[in-house]
Amino acid sequence: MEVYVEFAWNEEHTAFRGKVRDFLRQELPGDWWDNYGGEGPASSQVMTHARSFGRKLAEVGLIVPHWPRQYGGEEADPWTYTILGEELWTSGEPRSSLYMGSNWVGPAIMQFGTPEQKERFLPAIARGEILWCQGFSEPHAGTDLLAMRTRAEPDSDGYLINGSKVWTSYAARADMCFLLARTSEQGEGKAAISCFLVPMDSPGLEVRPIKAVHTPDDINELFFTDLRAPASARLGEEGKGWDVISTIFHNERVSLPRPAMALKALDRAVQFLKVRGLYDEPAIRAEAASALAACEAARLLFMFVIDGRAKDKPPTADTNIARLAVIAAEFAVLELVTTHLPDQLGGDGDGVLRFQFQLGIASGVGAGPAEVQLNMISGRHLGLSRRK
Amino acid sequence: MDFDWNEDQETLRDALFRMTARHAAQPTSGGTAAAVHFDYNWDLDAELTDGEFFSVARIPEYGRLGAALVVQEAARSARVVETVASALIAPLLFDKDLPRPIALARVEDLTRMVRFLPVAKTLLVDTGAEMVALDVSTDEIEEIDSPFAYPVGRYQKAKDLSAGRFATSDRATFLQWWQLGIALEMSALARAALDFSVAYVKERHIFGRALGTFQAVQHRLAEDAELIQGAHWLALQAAWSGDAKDCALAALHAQNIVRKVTYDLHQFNGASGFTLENPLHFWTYRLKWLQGELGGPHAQAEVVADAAWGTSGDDSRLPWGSVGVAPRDTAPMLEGEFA
Repeated sequence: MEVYVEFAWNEEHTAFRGKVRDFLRQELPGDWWDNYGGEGPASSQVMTHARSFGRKLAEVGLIVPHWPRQYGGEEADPWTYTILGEELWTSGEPRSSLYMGSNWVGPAIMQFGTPEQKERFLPAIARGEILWCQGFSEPHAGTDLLAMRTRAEPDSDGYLINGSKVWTSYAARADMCFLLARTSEQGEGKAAISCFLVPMDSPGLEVRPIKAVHTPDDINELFFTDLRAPASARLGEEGKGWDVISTIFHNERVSLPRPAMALKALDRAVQFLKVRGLYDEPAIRAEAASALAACEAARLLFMFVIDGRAKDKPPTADTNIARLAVIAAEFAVLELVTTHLPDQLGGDGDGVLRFQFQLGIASGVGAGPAEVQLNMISGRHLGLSRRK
Repeated sequence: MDFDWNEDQETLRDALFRMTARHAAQPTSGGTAAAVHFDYNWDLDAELTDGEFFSVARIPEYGRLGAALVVQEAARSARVVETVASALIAPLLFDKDLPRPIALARVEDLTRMVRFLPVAKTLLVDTGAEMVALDVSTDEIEEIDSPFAYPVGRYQKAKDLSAGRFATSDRATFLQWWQLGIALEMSALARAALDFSVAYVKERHIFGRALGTFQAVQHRLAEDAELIQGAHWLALQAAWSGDAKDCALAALHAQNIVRKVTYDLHQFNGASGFTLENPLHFWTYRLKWLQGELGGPHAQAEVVADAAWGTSGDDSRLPWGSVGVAPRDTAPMLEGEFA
């Protein structure tokens, strides 16, 4: 019988998932969810742990299995990398921001980098050695990225960078910043933007933490004051940064492991509901079941996107549909937990539920807000124009 | 994983599309001031029968996914033809063909309202303990006017189920395929209604511009597209796996999304969406019927919860090991402890 619409993992993929799970069981501390995972991947606990954990992941080939062999990968298919992402994310993302390197910074360097940049960064990313942050959003340029004002003034030695970034996760402990800045006075459009790879210990770069509900320093402001960057810090051609960003967004906005984490948190919530004798309440069971449906729907929509990637199909708005679906899924789980198990969200609450709460409550904000997804779906999936 | 249809399935889908397109969307046949009759499309039914489309579920190359295509394409087409029981449920349950069309009912529905009952030759009834198959005699049936865009009817008096052609105690499987049918039909109805509405808002002008250029309209349609795509893949996954939980889950999600989707689509079609000359009601009013079929979302949710997490005392289906520690809970403080 010919293979057709098929929703099962093959033997190779199942074996790979087992390998990752075995590794995580062996390598993560016994108190992982109590003292690490529940704090979130940008926390000091997880970021500090990631420095040693990343090297261990690299030793067993689990940092960049999807990369080309010439850069240390095994050319694993998108499904394999999806499985890796699911297993790590549902473990509280012990890679911390190492994942940026393998997900999109590395691929961007492969596509747009100079031979020197490839030699400097790709092996280090593949060894799990670089914690990244991304300097995109600014006080007046969040979703509207083209409104950014941070300037990288070209001069004879390279660039002089001045400006500020905000909402920068991981920055307090990151090694490198993937920075966007304007390199031209000409207009405010795409043509004036360039990308830079900037060490976080550069003179002229100050990191100020922003205290948030969950955390003292997981998100930050960056201030650039006459930061001198050599020309070799620029990734891609000057003024062609938008091409790089477009590639990044395609990779970043998939958020493919998030439904799996929501499913795990939902299972965890049901465990608590059972312990408390709440699970027999029909209304609560209905709430949990509907959340499960939303999570499974989101996961399938992501898998549909991965199927397209595995077949080298061009990107479509199906990515945005999946992103929108995961917001609904994460909120469904969030509502269940906050309504019936709010005490588990305190500092000594359950690590899995605390992690999911942090994800869920900001779900529609990060990695392209929900409204951007809606715009993309309207335009590219439904063919609706905003022109009168 | 593979989310593409194969060549055979594409051919089947194309054939269904061409066939349904040849038959006009069925005009209504009148009725009372409050509601209307919806005539059955016997010509399309005959063509589907002659082409053996009601048997594809028994062909290994097609199986449940082939039946899913029949159900979805018929639903999309807005034609009045019965497919869920004939193309999906009956072939999966029985080796031999039953007289058809086939109506589906819970026993409590028999004297209330059952879709396709006025045209059915066979009725499959869930009694709560077993599934009973009955021959339908039209002189026992009263056709009812309704808004639901199906021919609907009821028994004029209580039916003696012991006169059934046969019964099966495998009620769970019957209900499972029924849930799958609900999910498949609803996801296709919703997509067709969405596509129709998107085309409409591109053409309809208001305040000097196309209705579909307003962001408020676009965003709601985009939300609907996401919900419907999710329902579509859940339904197909259930058709592929045949798993009881997947079937219930797909039906639950489809029934959950109806309220928002039908509200939005009618809102954007305005008053014309409620007229018989506008085909929107063929999709949306059927969705409203199916929203409550088989007990509605709460009934499907009970099945999902049982399948996913078992009962209160059963933790065998929960992945305790993936977290590493069991839930720690503080014991509720008892009165005596205040002393």
